[in-house]
Amino acid sequence: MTNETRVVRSNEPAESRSDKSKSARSEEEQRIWQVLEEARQNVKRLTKRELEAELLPSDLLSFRLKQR
Amino acid sequence: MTIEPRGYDYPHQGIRVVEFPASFSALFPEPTGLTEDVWPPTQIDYLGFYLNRLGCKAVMIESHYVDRDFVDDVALFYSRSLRGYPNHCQRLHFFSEGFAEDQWRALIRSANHGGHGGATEYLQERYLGFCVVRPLPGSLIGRTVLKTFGPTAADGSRREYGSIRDYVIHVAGFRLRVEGLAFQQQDQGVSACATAALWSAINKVAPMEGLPVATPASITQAASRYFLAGGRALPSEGLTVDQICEATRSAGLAPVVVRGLALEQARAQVYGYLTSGFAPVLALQPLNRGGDGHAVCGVGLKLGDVLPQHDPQIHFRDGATAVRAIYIHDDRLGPYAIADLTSYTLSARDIVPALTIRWPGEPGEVETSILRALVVPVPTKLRLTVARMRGLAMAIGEGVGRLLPDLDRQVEINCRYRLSTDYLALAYGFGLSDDGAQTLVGETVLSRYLGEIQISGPNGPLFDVLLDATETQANPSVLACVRRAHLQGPSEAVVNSIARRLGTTLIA
Repeated sequence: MTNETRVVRSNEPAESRSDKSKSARSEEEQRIWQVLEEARQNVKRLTKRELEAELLPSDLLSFRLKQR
Repeated sequence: MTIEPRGYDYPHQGIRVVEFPASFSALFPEPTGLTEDVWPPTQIDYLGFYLNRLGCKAVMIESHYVDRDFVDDVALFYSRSLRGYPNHCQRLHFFSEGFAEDQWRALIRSANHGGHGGATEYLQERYLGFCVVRPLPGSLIGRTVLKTFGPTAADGSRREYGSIRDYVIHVAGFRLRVEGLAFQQQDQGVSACATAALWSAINKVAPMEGLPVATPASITQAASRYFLAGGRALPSEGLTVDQICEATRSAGLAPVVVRGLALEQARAQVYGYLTSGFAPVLALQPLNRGGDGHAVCGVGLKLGDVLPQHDPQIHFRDGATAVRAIYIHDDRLGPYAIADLTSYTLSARDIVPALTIRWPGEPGEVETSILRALVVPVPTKLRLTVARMRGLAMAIGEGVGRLLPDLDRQVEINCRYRLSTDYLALAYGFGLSDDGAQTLVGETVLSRYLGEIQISGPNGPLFDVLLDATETQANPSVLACVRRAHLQGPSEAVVNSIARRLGTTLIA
C-alpha cells in the first residue's frame, strides 16, 4: 500500500468576480450580521426571564401534590 | 366433610351491549355503606357528559378484563387487604351508533361466516374508546382512552391534541384502535393525583422511545424509594415535585422542570412541549384550597389567532401567543377537561400564570390555581430546553423583522421538537430544489430529535432552523437552515447570510 499525495484545490467559484463585488457582498453580509447582533441584544431582556424559570428553588422541589 | 374449594374456578366472561343510558351513572351500582364522598363520583358524571357530547349511543360491557395497571396495583397493595379484591376488572366500550344485543350477535355470526373484516370495519367506524372499571368501590374509573373532540371548536378556535397516540384494543376477536391519551382516577391507595398525571404523561412519551409504560404502582414505588420526606408511601399521600422527577428517571426518561413565572413565559413552555408531543405534568396551587397542590396532565391546546406584537421595541410575533386554553387530564374530573391559561395578580409586583378549570355543565363553577411549575418527562438525550431554543428563535425573528421591512412585526416564531425522520419526510413537501433535497436527506447529519425553529411570514413558513437537541446550548448547535415555500426573491440572500452567521448554510 502506498501513500498517495492529495492535491487540495482552493474553493474558487466557477464564475469570475471582481474584487469590488466581493467586497460589496461582504459589506452587505457584515451589515446583516450587525443587525442580527443588535437583534440578539434587543431580545435579551425577554429571554432572561425564560431562562430564569429553569432555576429551581428548593421549596418548589418539595411542593407536595396530593389533592383529591 | 370436606373443606369448601376456593380459587379453582375461572371467572366468567360475558359481553353484552346496552343503550347509552340517559344517566351514565345508572350503569354503576352505588356501593353499600355511608360513603365518604357524594355518589355518583364527579368522574362518572364527567364521563357521561363527555360521552354524550361525543355522540355515544351504545355501551358494550366486557365483564372480565385483566388490566396491566390494575394487576400491578393489586400486587403492590390490594392483595394484602382483608377484602378479597379480584385481580380483574370490567371494561366498557363506547360506540357512536346504537346497536342492540341481537345485532351484536348477528355481527359475530357474520364474522364467523367470512365477514370478519366487514364486522371489524363496522365496529371501528363507530368506536369512541373504552373505560376500564376497577373493582374499587370509591375509585371505579381505571385506564380510560376516549376519542378527542374535532379540530375546530364551536367558537372557531382550533384544538390541537399534541400528546395523544394510538391505542390498540382487542375485544371478542376484533382488533380496534382509538387515538387519545390514557386517563385514570386516583385510587387513593396506590396513586394520588400526581401519580395519575405522571402516568398519563409517560403513556405518551415512553412508547416513542421503545420503553414500557410505567404503571401507577411502579411510579409510586420509584417515587418513594429515596424521597420520603414525611408520611407513608402507601396509601399514597401524594408526591412532591422531587419525587415526580425521581419516578420519571426511574421510567427511563428525563424530567425537565420549569417554573411558572409569568403568563407569556409559561404559555411558551406549554406550547413548545405540547406541540412536540411531550405531555407536561402541571403543578398547581389552587387558590381556594390552601396547603397542598394538585397535579394534572396537559394533553392538548386550544388555539386562537397569534396576538399582534404589543412591544414597540420588538419586531416579531410569538406563535405561542395563540394559546387560549389547555386540555388537561384532571383526575378529579376526567379526560380532556378545559382549563383557561390566564394571569393572576397576587400583588402589584407579582402577576403569575394561572389555570382556571371549568367544570362541565356548570358554567359558574370554576377553580383557579396558580401554575407553579411544569414537569415534562422527555427522552434522556433531549437536552436542549424550549427556553434555550426560544432564546435563539427570538434573536433570529427579531433580526428578520428588522432586515426585511415588508415583514416587520409580521414575522412569527414557533419552536418545537420533531423527530428527524418525521422532518425529512415532511421536507419532500417543502418545494426544495433537487440539489437541496439531496443535501438535506442524503448529506446532512441530524440528531434523533431536532429542535425546530420555524420562521414564518403572514402567508406561511419562510425557513426552518434545525438544532441539535442533544446539545444544551442552542447556538452553536445549528445543523441546517432549510428554505420553505414562502421565502422568495432577494429575501433568500438575507437568510443565506443569517444561516452563515449561525454557522451553517441555507438548504434551498
